[in-house]
Amino acid sequence: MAASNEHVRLEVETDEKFSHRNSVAERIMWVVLTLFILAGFAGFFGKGGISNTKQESGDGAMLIDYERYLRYNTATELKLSLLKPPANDTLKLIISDGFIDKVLLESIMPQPLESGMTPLGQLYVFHHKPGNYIPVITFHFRPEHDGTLRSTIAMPGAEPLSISQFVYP
Amino acid sequence: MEQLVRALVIYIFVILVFRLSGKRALQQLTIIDFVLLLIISEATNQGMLDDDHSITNAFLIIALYVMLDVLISRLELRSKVFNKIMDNVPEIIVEHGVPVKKIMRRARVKEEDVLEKARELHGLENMSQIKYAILESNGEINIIPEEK
Repeated sequence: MAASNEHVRLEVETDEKFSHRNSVAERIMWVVLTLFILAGFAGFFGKGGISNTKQESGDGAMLIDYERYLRYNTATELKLSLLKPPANDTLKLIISDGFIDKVLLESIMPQPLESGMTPLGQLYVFHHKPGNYIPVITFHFRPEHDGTLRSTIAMPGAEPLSISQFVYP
Repeated sequence: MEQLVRALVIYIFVILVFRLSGKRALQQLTIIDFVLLLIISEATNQGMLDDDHSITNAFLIIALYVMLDVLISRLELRSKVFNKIMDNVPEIIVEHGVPVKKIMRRARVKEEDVLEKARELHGLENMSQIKYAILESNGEINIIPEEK
């Protein structure tokens, strides 16, 4: 105890108990940050890895290639492959308002011939040359709201496809 | 409103990360000074400002950070516990020429660091000439030489 008395004379306010707790908190923080970084590498916060996923509609007409985890106001894309395209030269898609209202749609490739509103959501009409290929439509967008983003994509005569994405702040 | 919440969350995160990164990560500045400088200079960062690059938003965020700093310093004056939580406490790492290995290991300080400081501050040649070496709460090492 002589040493502590000298510390008092030194006027250095040490606190062994606090220092020990602090050191435990530091170690916990290191573990948390390491897990955070590893989760980032794995794609848990978007941009590749486990975030990339695909989903096919029940009838096998559509396949969506998308990111499960998105980041607020960060560009991303959703690729829609039409595995059973219609035989005529127009292709209609309806995207639910839940998606349209929560994102900033930057571009659609190929560009739709026309677009309009329907009770089910936004309608896009594309020109389509029937042939032996799989049409792919890519939506480039930025999420404008945090949290869950639910979207439904429908094509006349096909089963609609619903997906759920999570947008990190 | 949303920008201020984002700025507040970033502030808390940065404080937490730097506070718990250990004393040796920061040496000259106190943790709060460091964080304040860092995040004010980063006030134009996209993640914090989002797509709002207005002067109004920058002023709001800077005002928020400065007032948080004032609030923290006032709380530190009022509460010793809060002061310890925010600024940490000093530790004696050498007593009468004997390194306190447990504390040095915990604080990630090497004997060479202490000797370097002893040479730099007092021209001391070896550990036995050190009465106390104190690792201050900001990570700085101070040396009190043995009386001759």
